Amino acid sequence: MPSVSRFEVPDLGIGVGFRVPHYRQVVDERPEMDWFEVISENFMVDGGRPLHWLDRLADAYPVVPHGVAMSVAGVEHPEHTARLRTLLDRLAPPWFSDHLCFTGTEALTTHDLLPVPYTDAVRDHIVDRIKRVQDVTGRLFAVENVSSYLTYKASTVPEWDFLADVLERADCAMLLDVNNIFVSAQNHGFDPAVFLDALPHDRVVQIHLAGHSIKDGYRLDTHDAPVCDEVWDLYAAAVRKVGSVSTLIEWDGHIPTFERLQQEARRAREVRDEALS
Amino acid sequence: MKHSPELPTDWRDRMVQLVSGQVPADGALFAGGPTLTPEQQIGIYRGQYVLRLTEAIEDDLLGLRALVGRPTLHAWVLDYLREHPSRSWTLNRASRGFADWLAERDPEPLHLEMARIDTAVQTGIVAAEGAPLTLADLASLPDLALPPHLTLLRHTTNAHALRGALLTGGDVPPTATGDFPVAVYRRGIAMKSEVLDPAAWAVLRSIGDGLGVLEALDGVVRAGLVAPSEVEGAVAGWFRLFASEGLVTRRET
Repeated sequence: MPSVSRFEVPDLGIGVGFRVPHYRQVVDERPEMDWFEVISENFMVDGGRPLHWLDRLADAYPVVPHGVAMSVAGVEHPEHTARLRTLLDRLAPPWFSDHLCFTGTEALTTHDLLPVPYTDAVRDHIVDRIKRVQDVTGRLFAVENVSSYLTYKASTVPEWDFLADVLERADCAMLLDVNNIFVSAQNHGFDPAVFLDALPHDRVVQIHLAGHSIKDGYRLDTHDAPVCDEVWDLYAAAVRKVGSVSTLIEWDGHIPTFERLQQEARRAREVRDEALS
Repeated sequence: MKHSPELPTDWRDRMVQLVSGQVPADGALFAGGPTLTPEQQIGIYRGQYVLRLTEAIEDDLLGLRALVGRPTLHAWVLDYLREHPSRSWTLNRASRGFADWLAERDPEPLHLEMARIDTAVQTGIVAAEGAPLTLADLASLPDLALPPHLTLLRHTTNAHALRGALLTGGDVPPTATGDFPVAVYRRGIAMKSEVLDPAAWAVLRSIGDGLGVLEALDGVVRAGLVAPSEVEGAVAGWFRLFASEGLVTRRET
């Protein structure tokens, strides 16, 4: 039996990321799509083009912001928090999200989603940061599992136990990235089913799907290809556990036509419906 | 799971140094995996760091890239990145210091001026509007300021004209030298780079420096940019331009 969400958030259906090559088509033609996700930081600006497109998008579709720079395992950038709050007030989304990672220090920002060591001290830091951002924004925050290419010697628990612990202690939601589980499982040699089983399923408010690349000895989370068959299978398994939650397809490199994205969204709907039937 | 309980307190600093290439790739912090050594694991992040940052910076310097070519710009950006790693939370600001960095390297004026226009365009695209004023608003001589999307540049080349042609595939004009008072600004959602009348440009510059309108007009007369007898007629034309293109806004008190 799928879980029932503990949060009162809507199932927005199947959506895609709002990306520059499709801005005008989406806004002018309003093609069929349940909802859109936007990269928060691209719209945390004073004005101009980004907000022009964002306001028009939000007039026509549900929009959920998804960040890449909160760095919950790192330092808080007060300007980031303030601008995020402004964006959330503008969109009033049912939730917002970012990654369980750190991106840098005060001395240098890598602009990458760096994995963290799974220790109690790091967990406590992350929990404090998530609690604070939920307090400051007054909105539900969903933390996403990242894909990773390294593990730390200092980790004391596996990623799934660490993540579950963070979710419970911070009392926040989860953005479950199925492709990231698969990529990390391939890179680190764990069973993705074990990862899925260990999560508090009633905290999952959104699922991410994406394509990735096969490199020499590892998988790289490139978001530049269709979702692969193994990830579709894992998505079906996830849906059977978390139920009918909003699903989002990320495609950020070699971005195809919007019609191709619609095809991918249709497949997600078929897989989801079948998993729930 | 196998682990060592010791996590260095400065693990974040060590990670960013490793990822950004400030120190040699060292796998001491990492466990390795089924197919990759610890050094190979951190190597993936080092490669991604360079790719991500250089791509973002080069994408902000479209005019310069079209002018000098990808390989030359990439080599410059690699040097710039080594000296100026990003400290901002947003990747959108990673290129902001590039033109000043280039200026310290005795570049060709055309290259530097193209970089300055590129930077002004990137700044203007995401800047606040600045409420536009009508001619009637201007007639009441309010305290004026420049809108955040406007950058004034005093160039010695026609980089602005070359940029437009290079990026649109139009006929690229011959490089020209001279005095080019350029305004880079946003109109609607389009960025524009226009050469202004030198006196109008000087009035805007004075307003940007915080002077009142009358002081700004007085300044262009004293500088000999317009004859005292012609200033009244000229002002109407300048202010019509400022209003129609949104080049001034009311100063916030």
